[in-house]
Amino acid sequence: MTLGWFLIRHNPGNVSRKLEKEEKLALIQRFAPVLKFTRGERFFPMTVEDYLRASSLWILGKNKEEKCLVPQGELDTEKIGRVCLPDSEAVQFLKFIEPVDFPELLEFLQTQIRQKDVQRFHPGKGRLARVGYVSRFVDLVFSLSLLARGRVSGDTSIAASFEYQRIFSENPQYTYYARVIKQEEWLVLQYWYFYAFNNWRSGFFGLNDHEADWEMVNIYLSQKDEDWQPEWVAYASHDFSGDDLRRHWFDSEIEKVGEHPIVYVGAGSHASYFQEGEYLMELDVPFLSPIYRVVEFLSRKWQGLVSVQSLNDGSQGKLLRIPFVDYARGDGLVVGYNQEIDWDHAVLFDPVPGWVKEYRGLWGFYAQDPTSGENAPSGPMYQRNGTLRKVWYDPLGWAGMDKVPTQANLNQAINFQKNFLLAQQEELQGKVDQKSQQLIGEGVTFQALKHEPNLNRLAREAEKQIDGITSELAQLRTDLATNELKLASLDRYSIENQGYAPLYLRDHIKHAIKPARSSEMRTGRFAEWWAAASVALMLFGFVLMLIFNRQHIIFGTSVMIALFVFIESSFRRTLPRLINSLAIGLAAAAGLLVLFHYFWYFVVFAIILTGIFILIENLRELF
Amino acid sequence: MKLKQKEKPRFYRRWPVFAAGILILLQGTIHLFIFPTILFLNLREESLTLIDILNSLYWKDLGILSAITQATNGELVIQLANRMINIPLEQIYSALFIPFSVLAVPVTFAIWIRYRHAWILALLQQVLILTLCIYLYFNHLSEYLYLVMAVSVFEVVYLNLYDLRLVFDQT
Repeated sequence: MTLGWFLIRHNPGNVSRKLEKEEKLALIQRFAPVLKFTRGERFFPMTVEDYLRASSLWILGKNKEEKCLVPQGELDTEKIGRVCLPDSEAVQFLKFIEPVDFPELLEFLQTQIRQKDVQRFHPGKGRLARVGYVSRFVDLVFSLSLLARGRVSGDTSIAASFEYQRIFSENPQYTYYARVIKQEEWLVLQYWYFYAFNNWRSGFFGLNDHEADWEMVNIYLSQKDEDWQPEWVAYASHDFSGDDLRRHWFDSEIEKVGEHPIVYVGAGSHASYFQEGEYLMELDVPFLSPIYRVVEFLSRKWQGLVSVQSLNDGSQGKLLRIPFVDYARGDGLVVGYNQEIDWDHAVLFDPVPGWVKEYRGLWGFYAQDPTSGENAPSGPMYQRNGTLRKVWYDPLGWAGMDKVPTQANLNQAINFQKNFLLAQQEELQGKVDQKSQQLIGEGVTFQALKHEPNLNRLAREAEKQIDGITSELAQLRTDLATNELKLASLDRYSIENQGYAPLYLRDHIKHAIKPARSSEMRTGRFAEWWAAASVALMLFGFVLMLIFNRQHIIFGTSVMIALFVFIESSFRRTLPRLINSLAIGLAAAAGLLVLFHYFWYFVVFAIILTGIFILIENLRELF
Repeated sequence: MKLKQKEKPRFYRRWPVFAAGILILLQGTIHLFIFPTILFLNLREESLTLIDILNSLYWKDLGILSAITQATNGELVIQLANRMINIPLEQIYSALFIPFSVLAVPVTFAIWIRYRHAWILALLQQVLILTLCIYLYFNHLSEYLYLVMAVSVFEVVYLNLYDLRLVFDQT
């Protein structure tokens, strides 16, 4: 099989001549995505040279001492790759910016006030209004944990914004980096975007802030009539990978300007999305995972009891997750060829430059955050721990493309698989014939031995032998039948997919990330205020009760929680669900009390019922 | 002008809706008769007739209505012309379920006419009944509570059946 597959994947007819650098650049520019930013975005794709010039290179040794290796102003792409690590545990990182001083902070606030409303970011429906109470408490704990964890201070984002504006005023360029990789029969165009800062947390109420940000988009081309045609697109979004990241070029979810796919860039996070909108990202809290499982198990059981399948909207599992909204509205700047802002500079990694290959450190401040959210990322080629990024060495596997043939090769792949199955069928049929013959032989032997009283032991052995061969034969026949089904299915698939695109474009997607629906965003302003203030109000209420009415603290707290939950569910229009859950909870408690009281009656009743059932079943046979 | 897409009609069976109404009426009937039944069971040994009670109501020194306020030592004392009948207070609390039997009537009709909020009203009624039951269980336990709880548990399960949720658009 290996040789056959190799021949298909490296069919001499399919092997393209080696592309020249100019041809690669032409392809890169031909399909370069259009980036649509959200209003209020402060950082845009830039050149690493400008960033490095404004940064210093540091090292954090084993003894936790920071040492400056190259001071600010002296760093460039040549130097960054040349510095060697003194020991394996040391961490190399860059420092782009120091926090702002007071006058700079005032200046920033003035700029914000003076900024025109059309340029300002409006969060819309608050993220906390989109989730329940428990998530808000978990969020509170997460926010408090930032004080204990290493983090990038809030004013660093302001300073980075100033510095980026200064750099941009000196060298106003929008730049992207690109790479062309030939893997199997695919040609992968890999676009890299470098941002000076990720201000998702401080600018857009998101999860994290960090210096430097590398984002990426892959376009998968296949060869057709001496030309390269796009077939699939995959956008990097946070740390996700796999089939869910990619869409077919003809998928209606992909918006395009000519041959340029549109990328909606998350505000501050710079994550890439196929559609404009607001994406609710939920952070799992690992130590709460047993609770998720218990909640999901109980809700499944209840749905089974009342035969409801459609109730599960996934909200049960979301109960204890921290909500963050990634705003990818696309209402800000548009950067792309022949767009509002044109690309100034496209840099092709051909050959891969030293600063990509040699520098394995972080591209910004190392905040020493154990969860890594606030630590700067590493470069395009490496992960934070210094190992190679999967998307760098295996762009097909990263998006689950390694199992997908090009449309042009589809029939060839189907034929190959059919041939493989036919060969397997032949082999299986041979084994079936042999085993059948063997089984008949053993059957005859057993019959012969069975009537010889002194050969009982041999008869028993033959019987065992027969059992073994029978089960082997059954398995072989099952495999034969399964292969038949596969072959028939491959035939049908081959006929259905004769066109220029596969018939089913979205079969590979298991959990597509979708923006919030407009119905989910319709919440009153008061509800948002309530969502923002309710956790604090509850805490204040608890403290007041602790001071003034300590003897009724449990009752008072229960009443307060009930009242808050009632108000909350009225706002969220989930009162029916709340009342139903309450009824179910009370019914479960009452049911247990009744069961406990009449336990033996229930047991006796169950036994009598079982007896009656068995009696009826047995009596039916007599009539 | 973009026309609003017409919603696909949803098909459902009628009998579960009818049965839900009947069950709620039955539950209301149980609630209505628990208190009189308990009274009857307590008074039965006294060989009282309805005439006796009515006579007592009009008798000058009595009576039943004023005696209700005379609960002492966890018992209700009904003072009749020639004797006193003690009924444990736990049993007297069963009168608290009578209002639910009144509520059962509009809820039943709401279910039968498939009023949009009927399902949630029925469940709200069950929440109130079960809350009262659990309160009484821990404070004034009496045997009749088990019957009330069992019926209510059955109602909650029945109201959550898919057929009913479908009718009231709660799927």
